[in-house]
Amino acid sequence: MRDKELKKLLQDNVTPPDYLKKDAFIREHRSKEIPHVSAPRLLMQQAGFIRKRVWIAMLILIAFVALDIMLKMRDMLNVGYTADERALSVLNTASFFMPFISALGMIEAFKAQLHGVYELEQVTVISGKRALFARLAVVGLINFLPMMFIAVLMKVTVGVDIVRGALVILIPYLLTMILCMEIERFEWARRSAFSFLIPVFLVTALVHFEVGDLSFLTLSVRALLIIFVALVAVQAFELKKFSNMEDYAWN
Amino acid sequence: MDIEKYYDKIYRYCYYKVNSKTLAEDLTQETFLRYIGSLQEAKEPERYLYTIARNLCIDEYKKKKETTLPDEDMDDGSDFENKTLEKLRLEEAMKRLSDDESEIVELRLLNQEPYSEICKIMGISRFAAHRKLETAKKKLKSYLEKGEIV
Repeated sequence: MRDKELKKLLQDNVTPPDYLKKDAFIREHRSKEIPHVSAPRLLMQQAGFIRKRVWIAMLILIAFVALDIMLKMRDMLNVGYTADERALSVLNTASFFMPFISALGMIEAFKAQLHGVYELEQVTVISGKRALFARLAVVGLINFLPMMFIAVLMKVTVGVDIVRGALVILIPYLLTMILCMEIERFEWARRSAFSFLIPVFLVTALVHFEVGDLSFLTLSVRALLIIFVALVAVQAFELKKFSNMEDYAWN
Repeated sequence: MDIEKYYDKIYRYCYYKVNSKTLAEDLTQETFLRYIGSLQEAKEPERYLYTIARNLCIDEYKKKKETTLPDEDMDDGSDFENKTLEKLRLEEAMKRLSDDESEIVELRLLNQEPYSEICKIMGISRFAAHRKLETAKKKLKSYLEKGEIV
């Protein structure tokens, strides 16, 4: 008898442990060992995972919107547009680019899903949903500041009410985010990042859709606020669904 | 400490000591609970875990001796049927080894622990560990092939 055979015989002789019992024990006691990662640290950590070119692309898009507003302003002043026409034109530009910025951020936040490794993310030491939320928060925060800058810029240059300007920017952004999260659930959508262009075009079309004189850009601040609150609620619901999905993955 | 990394090793170690699946599972979990319950995390968890497991198995053995409980696995009819003759012979062969020899077989052949670790766990020199293992292997092979220990 060779050593190898003896070793195999010894190992085969052991009746394997009850896997359910083993798994339950490991889970119960592993949770106590998980190192706590504070929220700011997690945000910094996840910000590091977002590729530089994505940051650059997003900032370029936002800078482009700001530049376009300023150039339009100069041209319109020369030609002699009315204040309302100037405001509408500027709002149009701002709302047009928002879905692109949003989709770009979502592609980066959902890159684990797009690369088919989300299951891996769900079983890492740091909860997958925490990592995803952190990435979404980082992208949102980074985008939020320049978006507010654009809202202020619109107020300064064309005199668009700051709340109205912010809502016109935030609604297409938020709607694109929600639709991206919805579309990501489909397997065909996960195959390519280009599928995230579908929500972009949908939102762009919706924002610029006109029924007579009524369009998204001409809605009152009150109506915009209602839409915004509804979208925030839907987004919260979507995030809750995501959070549950990780629990399902575990069980 | 990564429980997953050591769970099977400690389970196999306990299994050969108590020869019962359920008891080995209980002892394995008890080993980890005692380790986790200790105030400090040991620098060499493996060594510490084996020591706890060994002590728990000894306690169990003493209890078993006092109450003369029948072996759970052997008592279960269906389990008993599944046991092959080879397994019984192996268990018999393991019983014929000295405590040190069976310990080194469990650590080296079963759990594939490195010699450096075995020396620390058993408190013997590398040379002694190697010599004990060779003797144990010879005895096991002899019993399994010829039915007797030379």
